[in-house]
Amino acid sequence: MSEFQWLLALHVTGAFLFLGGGVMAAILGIAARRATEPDEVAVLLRLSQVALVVIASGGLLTLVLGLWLVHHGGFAYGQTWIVFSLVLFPAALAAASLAGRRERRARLLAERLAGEPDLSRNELEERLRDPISRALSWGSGTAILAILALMIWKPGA
Amino acid sequence: MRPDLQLFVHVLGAMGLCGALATVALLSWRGRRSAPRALLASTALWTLLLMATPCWLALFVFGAWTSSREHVPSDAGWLRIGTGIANAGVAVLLLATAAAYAWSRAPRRRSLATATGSLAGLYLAALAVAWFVMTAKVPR
Repeated sequence: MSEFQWLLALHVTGAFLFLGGGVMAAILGIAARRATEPDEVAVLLRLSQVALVVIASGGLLTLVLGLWLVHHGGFAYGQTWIVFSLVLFPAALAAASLAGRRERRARLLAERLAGEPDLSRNELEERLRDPISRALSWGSGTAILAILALMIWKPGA
Repeated sequence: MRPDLQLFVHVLGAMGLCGALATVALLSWRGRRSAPRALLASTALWTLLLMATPCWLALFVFGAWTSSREHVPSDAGWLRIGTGIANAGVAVLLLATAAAYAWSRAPRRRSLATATGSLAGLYLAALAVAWFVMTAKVPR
């Protein structure tokens, strides 16, 4: 295998981790919103932390090897698909990170409620249905899909 | 339909399938340890039915369409490996779904959680081999 083939295969591996992690976070988030008991919500949101680690490590691998590929392949950094990808990438990561922080607050509340069953669950339900958190998650997912589309179509290449 | 769009849906299906299988493996691993097993088992089952299966279909149909439209030689080693893993995967996916269904009916049986997670993990590992050889296009 040539250096380019190795770089490309590992770059795509990073992309699989990045997008696969996003799918994991989405599934676990939906399941947490549908759960009825705080201890169930806490377990599912704790599992979604694994997804955040997968997203972060996949994102890092994708970015580093992507830049290496641009350099190695002799692509110009000013090409439309590369510029848009480099703009969308930090936006997707930032949105995912902000959504993760809001989800963390919901998880901590769920853990507290699981230990004290007499407390009201209204606040937890509000946090699970938080429109800002949902908008951030959807925004991040849409940006990741747009990056994938740019990588395949390569407009301006 | 443009070949790029077919490839996009094929890759999207593959990534969605990997995410779904990783989720099932994670839920099964957690479900072996403690409660809420019933919730974890039903989430694993619905993930396989509503996410993994449609993604597998997208991967398979659009992958076959892409290779025929782009006239990829059918004896290319990387294509044979990828197609073989996709074909064998349907059996593994069916077995994993059956195991998840049985687990959702008997959430306390740890062996069913183990079976569901192992099958999902096994297929995920095979898919990792497939995406690697199909990206690097080795062996030719």
